[in-house]
Amino acid sequence: MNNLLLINKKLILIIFFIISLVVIIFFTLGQNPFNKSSLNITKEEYSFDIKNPNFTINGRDEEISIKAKGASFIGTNEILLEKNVIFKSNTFTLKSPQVYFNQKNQTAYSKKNTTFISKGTTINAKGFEITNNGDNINFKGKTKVVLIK
Amino acid sequence: MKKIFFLIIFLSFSVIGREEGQTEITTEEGIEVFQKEKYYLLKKNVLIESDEFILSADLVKAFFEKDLYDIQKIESEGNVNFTSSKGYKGSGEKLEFSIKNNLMNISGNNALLNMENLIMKSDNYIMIDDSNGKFKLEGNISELTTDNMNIVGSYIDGSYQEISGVNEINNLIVKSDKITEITSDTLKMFSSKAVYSKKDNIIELFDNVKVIRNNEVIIGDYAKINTLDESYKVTSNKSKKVKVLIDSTDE
Repeated sequence: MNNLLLINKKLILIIFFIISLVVIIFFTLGQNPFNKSSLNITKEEYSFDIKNPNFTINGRDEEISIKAKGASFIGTNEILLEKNVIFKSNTFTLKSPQVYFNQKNQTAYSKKNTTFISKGTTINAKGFEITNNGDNINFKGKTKVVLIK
Repeated sequence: MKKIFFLIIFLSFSVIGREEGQTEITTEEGIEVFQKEKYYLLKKNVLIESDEFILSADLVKAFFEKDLYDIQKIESEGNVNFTSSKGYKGSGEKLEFSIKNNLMNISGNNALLNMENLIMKSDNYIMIDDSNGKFKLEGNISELTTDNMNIVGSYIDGSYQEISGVNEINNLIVKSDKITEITSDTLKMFSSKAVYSKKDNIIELFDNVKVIRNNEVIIGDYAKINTLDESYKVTSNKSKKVKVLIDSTDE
C-alpha cells in the first residue's frame, strides 16, 4: 500500500492549524524571536555620557519632557538618547529606543520603531522626525494608525 | 476538529482585525503631521478602513478639527477607490470627501460613482451631496445610468431620494455643448437641453430635438414626454414645422 495513504488526515489538519497560528502571531506582533541578535545583550553594557537624562523643551503650545536611560554627546549640539526614550507632553507620548536630539534647533529624529499615542490616536512607524517646535511630526516608513472616536 | 478550526479563524480575526468604532490607516511611506495647519499627509499605498468607509489611494490629505482622530475631510489622489457602508463605490484620479457634510467630489478622466441603481460616470468631475441628495456631473462626456434610463450630456445636475433602500431620481437638468441623449426602454431622445421632473412625470427637451421610437423619428425644437405612458408631443418654435420621418423598411 502507498505510504501516502497511511497519513492521518487529522494529524495533517492539526499541523496546518498550528503552523497557521504561529505565522499569524509572528506577523501580528511584528517580532521574530529568532532574529534577536547578541547586540541587544551587549548594548546593556554601554556606558553613556549622561545616565537617566530627564529634561524639558518648549513645544508649540506646551512643554515636552524628554526621558531616556542614557544619552551620549555626538556633536556640539546633538545628543543621542538611547533606551526607552520617551517624549511626553499633556497631549501626547512618543516612545522610541533611540532618538537623535538637536538642542540648538530643538529637533529630534529616529530611525527606530516609534510609537506615538495621543487622545484617540495610536501611531506605529519605523521612525520619526520632529521639526518646527513640534508643529511638524513626520512618521517614517511603513506606518499604521489606529483612531478611536 | 471543526471547533478547533473555527476557534483558530476567530482568534486570527480578533488579533488582526479592526475593532468596531476604530479607524485603521496603513501607509508605505509614513505620515507628515502639520499640527498648526491641522492636517496630515498619508503617503504611498494608503488604506483607510473605518465603520463608514474604506478608501485606498496613493496620497491622502486628512484634515482634523482638534486631534488627529477627529477627521473632518479627506483629499485623496492617485488610483483612488472608495467604498461606503451604504454600498456606494467611487473611483477616480482625485476624491474629496467631507465626513461632516457627507459631500463627495470625484475628479479625473475616469471618475465613477456607483450607487447600485444610480451609476455616474464622467471624464472630469462628479459631485454628490448625500445629506440633501443633490448631485452634479461635469465634463465633455458625463453619463448617468438608472434602472430605466441612460442619460448622456456634458452637464448633468439633479437630485435623488432614497425610497425603500433604492435611490430614485427626483429632478434632472441635462445640458450639452453638442447634444444630450436620453435613452429609455422604448425612446431615444436628443436635444441641447433636457429637464426631468419625477413629480410631474415629464421630460422636456429643448432645442435640436429629435425623438426616436421604433421606426419613427420626430424632429422639432421642443418636446414634452410623459414618462408614465411614454407618449410625447413635439413642437417647433422657429420654423413652425415638425418633421416626422417614418422608416417602413422593417415592416
